[in-house]
Amino acid sequence: MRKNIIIPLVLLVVLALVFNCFFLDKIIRAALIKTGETIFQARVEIASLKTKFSNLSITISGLAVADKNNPMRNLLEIKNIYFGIAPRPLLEGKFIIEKVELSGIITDTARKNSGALPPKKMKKIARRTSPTILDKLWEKSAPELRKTAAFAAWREIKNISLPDIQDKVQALETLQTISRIKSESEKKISDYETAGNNLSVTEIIKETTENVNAARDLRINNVNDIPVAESLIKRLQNNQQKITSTAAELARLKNSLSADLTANDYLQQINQARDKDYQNTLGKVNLAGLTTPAAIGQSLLGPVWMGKIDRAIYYFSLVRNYFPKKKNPSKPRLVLPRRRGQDFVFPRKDWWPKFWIKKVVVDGMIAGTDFSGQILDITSDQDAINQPTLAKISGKSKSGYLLIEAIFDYRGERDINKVKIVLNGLPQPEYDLAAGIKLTGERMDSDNLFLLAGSSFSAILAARIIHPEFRGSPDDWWLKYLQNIPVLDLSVRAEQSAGSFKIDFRSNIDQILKQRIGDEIGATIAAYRTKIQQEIDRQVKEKQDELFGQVEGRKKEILARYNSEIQNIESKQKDIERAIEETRARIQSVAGKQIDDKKLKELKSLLGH
Amino acid sequence: MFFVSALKSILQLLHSNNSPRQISLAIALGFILGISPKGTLGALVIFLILFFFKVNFSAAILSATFFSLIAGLFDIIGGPIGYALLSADFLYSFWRAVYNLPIIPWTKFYNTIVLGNFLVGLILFYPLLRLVELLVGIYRREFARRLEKTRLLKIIKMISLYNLYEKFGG
Repeated sequence: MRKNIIIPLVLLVVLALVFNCFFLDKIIRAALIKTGETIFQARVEIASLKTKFSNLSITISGLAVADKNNPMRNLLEIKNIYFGIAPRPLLEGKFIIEKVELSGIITDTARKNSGALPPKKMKKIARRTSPTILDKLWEKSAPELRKTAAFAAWREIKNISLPDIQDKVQALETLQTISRIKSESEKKISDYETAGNNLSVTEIIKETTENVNAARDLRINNVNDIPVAESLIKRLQNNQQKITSTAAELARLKNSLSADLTANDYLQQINQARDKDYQNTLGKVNLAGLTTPAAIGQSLLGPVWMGKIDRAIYYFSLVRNYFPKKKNPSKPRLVLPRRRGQDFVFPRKDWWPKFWIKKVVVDGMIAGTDFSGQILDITSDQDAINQPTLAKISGKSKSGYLLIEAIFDYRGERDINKVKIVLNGLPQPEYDLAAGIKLTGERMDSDNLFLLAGSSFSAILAARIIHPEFRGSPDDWWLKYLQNIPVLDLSVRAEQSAGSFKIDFRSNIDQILKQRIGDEIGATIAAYRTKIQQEIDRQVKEKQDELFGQVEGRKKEILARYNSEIQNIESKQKDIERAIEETRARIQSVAGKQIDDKKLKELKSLLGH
Repeated sequence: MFFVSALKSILQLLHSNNSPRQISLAIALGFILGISPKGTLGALVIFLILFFFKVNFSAAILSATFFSLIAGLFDIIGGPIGYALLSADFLYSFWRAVYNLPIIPWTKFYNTIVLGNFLVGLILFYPLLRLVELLVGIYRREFARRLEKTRLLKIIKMISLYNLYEKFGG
């Protein structure tokens, strides 16, 4: 032993006192801040921390925990925290605290600076903490559940005012169809014309007329003229054949043309194209989405309530992470990994767990309502004290009340975590909904139950907002349909089991919108549809009439020509027949007279005259 | 500069009036302190022993610093030893009894590295003590005088003087 032990001893005591006075508080404060930041993954600030050795107490003032999801807001602030550690159990390394007093709790306060941790620190924390299966499943399912397809379509519709129909009704397919029909019909008409020309009706008639005139002018005086007459008859007969076949061809062409190029054929094509144009124009205005606001409630309100479930899952995961693992009864020793080596945790012979806060007394303010309550038995070993952790906090204001009850029971085979939050008649906070729209109201009643039992999570949230008020940007013209709603009811049921998350979101907002839109916009949309139809008809009618006029006109022209030619041919046929008859008659008369004279001469010769 | 400072300290120690036994005791205790995890009651007790008993404090701190740097190597040996002892069935009731005593849990004996390295330290304490004592003796007999005359020692002495001058001089 050193001879001069007094000085080192005094030095040591002085050092211990100096350490206690100047450094111990700072060290504990830094440790608490570090632990808090690891748990909440956001800045934790402590204004002051004082330890007192006389009664082993710690007083913490000005604790602020930032909200990691909203760095410019605090999750909560606590004005004062006071607790004392029981000395006897401390000798055994056990921290038993009879009572912790948390006073002046307020939530969701504004911060002067951001409460987000630097990225380097967050990476370190992320390395130390691992997401639970529940976290992973929620992260996987959440994007699917947050889909707002219907809402996005609504958001794009600036308005449904009608003046811009002209812009929408353009490049109609019907007009192209009419143009096509026109060129096709022109070609057909041209073909008919060409076919008619190819018959050379004029030449045939001219030839026939010449032959008929020749027959009329022919002198048959004696039998020597008969052969000439007979050849003329042959020519007339040839003409007759030609004319007959030409007449038949003309008749065929006429019938074909009459049956072809009818309005009915074109109308069917034009009407089909017109219907298509109508649907396409409607599609440009996206009226279909407007009239069927599917899942608008979920799209609009869902994110806020999904946020509550997000939070519940986050806090449940926190509790799970930091609640001591249940000892396996078959293994009398628990082995916990540490930074260096492993800790063997042996069973305690007496009933003190290693850490136990018997009672936490809280008071503060939420949503303008004073509350108070207590949390019992926060401990590292619920089996040792055979009690779950219970919380009951209640508050009352002039208009309503709040009640928070929770139980965290890790004693059985399956841990049970249950939190019930009832808010009734309290002022409605302002909610940030989707697409920058805000929701406030006169008051809100809500009943929320979150349950995590083993690996199954479920949440039942119901809310009723009296006289809700939606506020958005000027682009949100459709919010007028959500004004003057007396009550907004919504309920969300979330369930996780067997590797999947299911959410059932119900709200009366869909029905309200549908009805109001149906009433007002329905008539407007019908009128708008009619106007679209009328505009299409107007543009189409002009071209359609032009087409029909043209086609009919040309068709009539050609048919008239055919008719005239047929008439000419028919009259020529009669002329030919008459000419042939007359010429034959004259031949017969001349031939008959010649025979009679010959016979008379023969008779006279016989009689000797 | 750290190495120069350490070298200076070692040479000062070797050329000081402390007996080889004192120096070796300090180094052996520093060894146990160095390889044990800090923040335990055991480490504090060893520290107090250094403080209150006639042990060369600076040698002990120097030794503890050095062995802290290589403590990881001893964890490889101490960890399994500690684990084997803590998990041994025949020692279960003993450990459980000790675990439930007052104050003892603050030694964190239930940690595999704390227990294992402590035992390694205890085992190697006497051999290290004797070895260092021997080496110091040999150094003082064979090399001390020769080294006194070398430039190296003169430079180191000069550096010390210079540092003193810088500290307290103008």
